[in-house]
Amino acid sequence: MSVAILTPEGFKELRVLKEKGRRLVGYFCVYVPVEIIYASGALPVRLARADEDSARCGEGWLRADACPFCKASVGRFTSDPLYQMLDGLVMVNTCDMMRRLAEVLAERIAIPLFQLYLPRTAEQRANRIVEWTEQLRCLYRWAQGLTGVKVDDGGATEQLPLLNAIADYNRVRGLLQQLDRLRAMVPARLKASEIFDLVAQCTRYPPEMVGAWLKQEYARRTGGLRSAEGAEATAPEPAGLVSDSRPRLMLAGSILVEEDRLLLELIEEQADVVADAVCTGMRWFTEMVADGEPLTEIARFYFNRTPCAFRRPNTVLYDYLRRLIQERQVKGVVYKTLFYCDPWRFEIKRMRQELGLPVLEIDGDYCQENRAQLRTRVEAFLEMLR
Amino acid sequence: MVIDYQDPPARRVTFDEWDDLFARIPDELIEQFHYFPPNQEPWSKYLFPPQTFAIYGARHLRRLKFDNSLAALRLWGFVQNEGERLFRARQIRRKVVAVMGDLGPLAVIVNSFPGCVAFYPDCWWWTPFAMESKVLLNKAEELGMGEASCFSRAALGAFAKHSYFPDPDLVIAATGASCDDYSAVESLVAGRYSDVLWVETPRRPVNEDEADRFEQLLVAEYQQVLKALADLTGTEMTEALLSDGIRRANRIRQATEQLKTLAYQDGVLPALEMMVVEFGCLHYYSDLTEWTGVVEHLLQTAQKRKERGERVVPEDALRLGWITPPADPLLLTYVEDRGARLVSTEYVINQALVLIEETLPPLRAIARSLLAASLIGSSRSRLAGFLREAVEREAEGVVVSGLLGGSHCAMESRLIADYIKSRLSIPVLEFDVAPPNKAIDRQTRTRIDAFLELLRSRR
Repeated sequence: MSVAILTPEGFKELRVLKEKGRRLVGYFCVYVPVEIIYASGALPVRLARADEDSARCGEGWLRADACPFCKASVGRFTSDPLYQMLDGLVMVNTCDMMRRLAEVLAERIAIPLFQLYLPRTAEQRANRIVEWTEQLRCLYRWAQGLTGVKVDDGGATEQLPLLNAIADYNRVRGLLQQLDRLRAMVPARLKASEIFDLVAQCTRYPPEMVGAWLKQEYARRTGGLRSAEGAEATAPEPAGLVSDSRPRLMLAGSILVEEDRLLLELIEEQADVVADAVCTGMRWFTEMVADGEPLTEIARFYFNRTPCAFRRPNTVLYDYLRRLIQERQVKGVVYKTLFYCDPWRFEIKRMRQELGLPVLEIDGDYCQENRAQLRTRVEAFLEMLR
Repeated sequence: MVIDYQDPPARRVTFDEWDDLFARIPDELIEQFHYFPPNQEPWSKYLFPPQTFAIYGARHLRRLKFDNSLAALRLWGFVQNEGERLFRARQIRRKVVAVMGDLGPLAVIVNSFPGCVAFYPDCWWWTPFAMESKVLLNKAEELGMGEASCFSRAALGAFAKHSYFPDPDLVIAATGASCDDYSAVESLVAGRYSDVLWVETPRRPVNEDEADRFEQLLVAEYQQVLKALADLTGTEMTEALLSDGIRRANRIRQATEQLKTLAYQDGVLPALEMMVVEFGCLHYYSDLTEWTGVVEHLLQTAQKRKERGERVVPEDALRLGWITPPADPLLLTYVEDRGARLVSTEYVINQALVLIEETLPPLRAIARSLLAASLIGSSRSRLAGFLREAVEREAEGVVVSGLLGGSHCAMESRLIADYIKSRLSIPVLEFDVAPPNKAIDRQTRTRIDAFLELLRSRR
């Protein structure tokens, strides 16, 4: 397993699956319940790819002050083989721009699209959870319609694929949690950029496929001391002592796409990113779906998962960040936002105040021309931390 | 008491002319207008010489043109007085409730509670324009909301300043399928200035099943609001009180709808005053009873003008549709000065204009009115009513005025423009409203001029 699998050549596995009749359903957001898509027989494929060219292409359809990720996502449909392989698309109204992206795509691209409504308010009121559960039920029906796999007896037969999907994705999340603890160790045995690559793969390929990769990777990283199977049961504890030779950082902010790895690599030349609050990083695997009636538990899981900044109130996000800072002995925060990403961008002053740590703000799009400037800023920040 | 006063022949007047006009109004008539009726205390008068408002900060007024009726003077006096009125509400022990983000329904609920005054911090986003000052915007920037957000950030600045309205007794913030900029304002208010009661706003339903479910969802949300208000006021809400609240809201909405027809079809009221009235349906400028009187006064004036065949904009003026709120009143003044008039508008607040059904259980009826909202649905659904009016009134062109950084503007402006062009085959002018200034920036003015010239050449 390597970053190479994220290149277009890496899509060959998906092509093979598609040729065998598997439907590929794209999704952008961490709030899309992959278990439901997977249980319907389709493969959920996360779309977290963006670059300068695709964002520029998207400006043909959206204004320049739209979120760069939204612009790039639109642009990708015209050029990216991964996006062109899709049989369906599931969107969820998280922030306003993502909600409206669904309309833009529906107008411009001929692809079956389901738009989930997730309550933006995060307090657990019964009426909100009931509606969210109903939304998931509708999604399940839609996905089953797409794949032609229809089990509608309302009983155990219907629940089985969901239970299996929950087990499969929980296993993947568990393995990622084990691997993630390696980056909290001193010295770190895994880099944040590698964690992000692993998450990208886990959100694109079938769980049974990535499960094997993750086990191998874990065994390799722990020096073969633990068997692949044993990895799930026993994990090394993070060390209690922290070396001060390399600053320990946390990454937070807007979605970090595959093409943003450059930022991580730049930071990792001199520091360790030991924690993150990014939807393409830790936030994807940090919790598990609980046992119980599957649709209810999936609904609870997604409603309550560590929130994106768009949810209201988003105090749980701050609690999560404070906990990570303490547990992983973080000394500074890199806060990477996209231009016009309102939910994250406008929290910055509050974030500084509440976290009480030095924060490096990086606001940008997918333009690569400022790399030298970015390097200078990162180096200055790290110098300050030392 | 009957006081003899006749409005002069209808026309738009400059600020100086408007001030002179005030001098001709008998004192006895001026004394009649008080906010929070039936209160008649001297402190509650709100009709003052327009200069007063300019001196106290609304400098923008000096650059606008106004309707020359007594009803319009009353309208502006009432609107400009809102800040004072809110502080006075606190003094006389009314509960001041900030209602944020839902654009209509929550104010109906709050106003149904005796002794409660609902106000919209949302509407403080006009303040930087009215005052030609960036004080509130700068304050918001200090708190994290800079130029990448729309002007609604002024509301955050107003909370932080503690001087534009009293610190509310309760803040109710609606969010969900709504604008991200304003949701960020709410989030920062919640983090710094006040506890907030969050209310979910679902998207526009995609089918009837979903519509039923969303109504139930909203009813449960509104029940939480009723509980919070009951705790605050010590009054239990009854169905009769709520129904009465709906009837009072509908009375204003009906009058506003009639006024829209008179203004946009018959040209008897300027676009600027009409916009102020449309936005009044959101929150009644913090006094529902007196606002009803203001709007009905305007309606009587407009009806009389129609009977007499008086207009404030020429019949042969270019007919424009206007979409999204023009944050700067200078723009509406300018297009009328340049020989155009509005015939159809979509200011993202249509849920505050539709009638609430009076035969349904009250909370369900209020919920249903929200589900018709402009902001929560697709651009196509938002445009349905606008297009109907634009066709009926033979709009010759459409202006889409957006806001840089406004989350919905960035995503839907192009869709809207394309959709209008495909449906109406008329030119569309799209631009962003510039930050508060003493004049419209030269580029925007040139673009408006060129657009109107184009429309003229198509006749």
